[in-house]
Amino acid sequence: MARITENTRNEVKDVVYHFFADECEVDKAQINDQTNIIKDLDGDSLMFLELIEIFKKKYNLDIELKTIGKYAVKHPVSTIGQLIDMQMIIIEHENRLLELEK
Amino acid sequence: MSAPGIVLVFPAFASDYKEDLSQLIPGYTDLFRDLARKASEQVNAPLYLFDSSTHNFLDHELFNQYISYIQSCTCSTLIRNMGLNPGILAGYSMGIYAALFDSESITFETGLDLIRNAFREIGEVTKNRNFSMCSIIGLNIKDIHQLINQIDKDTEISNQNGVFAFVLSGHLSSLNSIVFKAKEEGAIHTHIFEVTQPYHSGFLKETETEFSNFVNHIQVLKPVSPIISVIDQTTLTSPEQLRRELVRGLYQPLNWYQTHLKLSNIGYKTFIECSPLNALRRIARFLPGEVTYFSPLSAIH
Repeated sequence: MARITENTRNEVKDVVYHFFADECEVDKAQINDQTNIIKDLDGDSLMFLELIEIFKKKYNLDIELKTIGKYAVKHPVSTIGQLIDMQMIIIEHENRLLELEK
Repeated sequence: MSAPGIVLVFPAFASDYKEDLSQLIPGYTDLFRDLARKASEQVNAPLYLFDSSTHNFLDHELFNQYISYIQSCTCSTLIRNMGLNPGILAGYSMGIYAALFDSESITFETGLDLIRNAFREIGEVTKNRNFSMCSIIGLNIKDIHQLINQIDKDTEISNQNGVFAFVLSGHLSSLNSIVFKAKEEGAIHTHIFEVTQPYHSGFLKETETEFSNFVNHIQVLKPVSPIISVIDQTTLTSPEQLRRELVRGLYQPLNWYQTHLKLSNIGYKTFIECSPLNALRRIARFLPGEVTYFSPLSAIH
């Protein structure tokens, strides 16, 4: 289980904002936690997949995509803020993510 | 300008993605209008009325293919007019027709005839049956095979876009069941395409004879740039190889992932998508290899 520090959320937020600004070719200042990933940024599921891989490498996470997929079905994400929350939970719980549902 | 390290890639369908560079690419609007008028006469359809801001026609399966073809031909003409000579071409699915046009193997009109005839032959083979295609993202190939075995063994993988990205073709009812089950199994994303045909699957094997007859009667010239097969990743350099590719492309599965890997492994690092849209650049984000995709706008600049 990855250790969450006070800085982790800021790190995650920074990566997510940079990622979408870069991928969607928008100014980072135009993105906030309420920004809708699909409607406002024209984002897609491949971006979500790519972001997961970035965090897997950054925090050396032990988690299967399928586990994230199963979690995401019950906790759908539409905004940047929700995505950051989900990434925090993934980083914290890794492959034990689904145990949170029990 | 010689650019042997450049790959021109051609998408299959037009879409209503937010990114549409058609108003920004110098010369695009006028050339598209000219080609759309020419196409309208060739296939007797009002394609010249296509409006990139309202995306009309895109929900019409055949017209969509025509529009995508015209968009690609427009972009490739503008790119070629700059004097840029790509090292190789790759047509994603129905993008093969625009690749053939770009390689000067077929005329613009012949490409339209190919699209029309392929669509007609496919329709003959599948009439009265409900087919479609779907994408599943987030499961690996073993998971996909398990789903197919559980639900409908006739369903086929018709394209692989990445390690965790697949396209399936089959009966609509089976695809709906597979998509439902895929979500339960942890797929990140699933989508049933708005198409009525099981492209690139064995369901279309019966098109072979009739479509071969058509393909054997059109003029296909030696390509000025080689084309990579998205089916088996061989390099196509002769009219005979291209004719065979056209015919088998209707009923054999594609592998865009392996095509991309092959091109990357032999040294191609720069890809230009011949379209004002970004369908292939979207897929490419998750493909391995140190490659960069450019829009025609970037290429022209």
